[in-house]
Amino acid sequence: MFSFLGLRVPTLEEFWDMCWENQCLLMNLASQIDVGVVSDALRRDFLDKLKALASSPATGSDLWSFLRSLPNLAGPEITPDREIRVIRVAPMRALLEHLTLTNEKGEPDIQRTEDAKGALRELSKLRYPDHRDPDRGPALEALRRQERSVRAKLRPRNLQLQPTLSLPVAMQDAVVAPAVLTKDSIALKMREASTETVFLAPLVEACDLPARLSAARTEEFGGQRIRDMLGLDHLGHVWNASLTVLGFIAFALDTSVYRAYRPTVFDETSLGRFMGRYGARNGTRGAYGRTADLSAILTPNASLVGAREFVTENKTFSNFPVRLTVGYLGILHPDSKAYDDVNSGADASDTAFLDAIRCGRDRSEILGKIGNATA
Amino acid sequence: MTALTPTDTLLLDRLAAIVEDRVPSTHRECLSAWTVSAVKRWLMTFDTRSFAPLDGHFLNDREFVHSFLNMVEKNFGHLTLNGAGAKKIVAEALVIVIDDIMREKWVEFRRSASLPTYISLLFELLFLMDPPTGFAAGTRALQWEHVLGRLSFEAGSDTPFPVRLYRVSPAAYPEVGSQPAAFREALMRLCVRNPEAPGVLSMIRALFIPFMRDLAVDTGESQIHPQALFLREAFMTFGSANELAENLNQNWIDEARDQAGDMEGYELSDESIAILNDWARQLSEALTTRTQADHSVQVLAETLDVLGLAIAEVPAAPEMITWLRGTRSMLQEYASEYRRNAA
Repeated sequence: MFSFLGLRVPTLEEFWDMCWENQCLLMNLASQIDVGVVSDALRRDFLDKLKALASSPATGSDLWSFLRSLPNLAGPEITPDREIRVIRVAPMRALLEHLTLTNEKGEPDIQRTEDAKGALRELSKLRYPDHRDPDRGPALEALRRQERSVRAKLRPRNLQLQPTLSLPVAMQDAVVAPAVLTKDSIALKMREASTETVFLAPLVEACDLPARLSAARTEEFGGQRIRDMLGLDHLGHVWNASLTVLGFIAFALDTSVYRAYRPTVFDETSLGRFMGRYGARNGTRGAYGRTADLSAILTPNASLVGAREFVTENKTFSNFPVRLTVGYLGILHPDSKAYDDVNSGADASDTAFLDAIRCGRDRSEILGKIGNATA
Repeated sequence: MTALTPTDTLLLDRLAAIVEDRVPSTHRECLSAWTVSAVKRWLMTFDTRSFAPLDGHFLNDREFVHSFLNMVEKNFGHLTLNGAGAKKIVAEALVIVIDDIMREKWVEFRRSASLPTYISLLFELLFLMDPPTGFAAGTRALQWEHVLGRLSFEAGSDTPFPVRLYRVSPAAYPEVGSQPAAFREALMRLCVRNPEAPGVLSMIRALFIPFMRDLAVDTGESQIHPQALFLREAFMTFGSANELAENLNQNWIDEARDQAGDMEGYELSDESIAILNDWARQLSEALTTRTQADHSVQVLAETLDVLGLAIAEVPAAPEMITWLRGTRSMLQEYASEYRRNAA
């Protein structure tokens, strides 16, 4: 702290020392200043807001409250020349809670939707058996059966359902079904008027993502690879020890109506697994951001670069009803590590992640990059 | 009792200053009153800033229930206030909010189309923090038919409220017990009268085996078990009882085919028959673990007689019919034995 007009003002050094989430933020901020994703005006805004605090955030939840005062959607705008096909991954439960599956004529199929929710409930309440349990066979079989049941409710044997958009060829084996969203959904952040931001992943033919969405169908933990690849560290920890079951929605975003931006560290993103480093350290920057591949954090020499991502205004679904394609991925491994603000201090995975995103800089270099007026 | 740290006291004092209606006199009252006011603010605005100064726990993209529980655990999980654990206090505060809504204190909110969604979220929190309180409040809520009539089966396309409540309740807490049993019975009572509502038939099917296991709970009275009577009422008395039994059994068969991954247009696969047999075994076990020998078994036998006849109409389920006939015989033997002993 130093004194400003008689008030004690938090310094960058103190901010750094308070908790590892603050360090993660500062490392990413320095990297994004480097490649011009964070402008000098945005950098100054951050410093001004920091000085206005009574004390530096001491926990992840404190930091989250502080970040709400900073502008989102302030990164460079992405200007594709046509609409972007995108996906958003979420717990299957949240998806089915707010979407209604449709039949071959595109009409809402409420009974089938409710049956799918019921099957999902029975699945999520099952326990994944301990791998040391020699008698785990029946429990595993029960899981597989219940997953088949959920898939069958999405895509019944007797219906010829077509997705609502043309999907990449590599997604041909993905379990997808047409659906409609008829009203606001807070859980999915599909709202008419909100200042929140929404992260989306573009479906690019050349990217590994579409093929992975297909492969989920045959994997034991169908949601795991996609969750890791998209850096969705908030998924995988639930209080009631239920299984986490993931799905996704796919739709076409009309970029003549909705503006898309490369994410910055202030875009209501993960406090523990956001990666602002993509783009040459002192060179040009990519249009999209890149997620941090969670599976690579503790794997020596593995690339952290996951999938493309961008952020948009949360009015994506302002004209109800909205037609979407909903997809089933599958369960997460029950021991899936997820960032959680209840746990204090950095564990091995957190420390390894910080090491990976610091770009070889030490504290003074990072703080110098943020504190000095450089472009 | 856990001693409060200066940080705990400071936080509770900050919360007390936020409570609008009254000045709490104890720390327990403070936590309860703040929870009630914060949850009510959130229900009116759907803005997680309602939980200030603890709104930082509601991280972007994370599910509300998880964030709420994080908030409670991180800030109050270690506290015992005036003899009660913090989770218990927060759970009781949620019940106050639910009761206020049910008792027409919140007339405007009760007209909201979102009410079933948010009430079931509150119940999910209750079930996770304090299951006995959750089951008790859930059973009570299901009996408020003057409210739930609008919430549940007349709401058009929305999920019926009892079905929502079932989905947020624990799968096995405990496997057999009077509170969950009463909850399941209240669910079944509402749902068997509305089997056409979305999701209800699937729920009855999923609930059926746990419901039958509940019959193993000894009521301590030598009278017909109330749930046995209920089953008779459901499957024999109602005008559409046979239809319900038929639909339920078809739902069982459809589910077995879904779980087995059967192809369209083919007969039941060996795997789907094995699944049906597995359910039959579980149901049979649930019934044979009964500790009572009273009139209930006779009533059940009569009920299953109807159920078995209904199944006989479904040619694709021979294994199920065989099983049900066996169970019916077993129950009839129990009933005869009871009559002999009574004589």
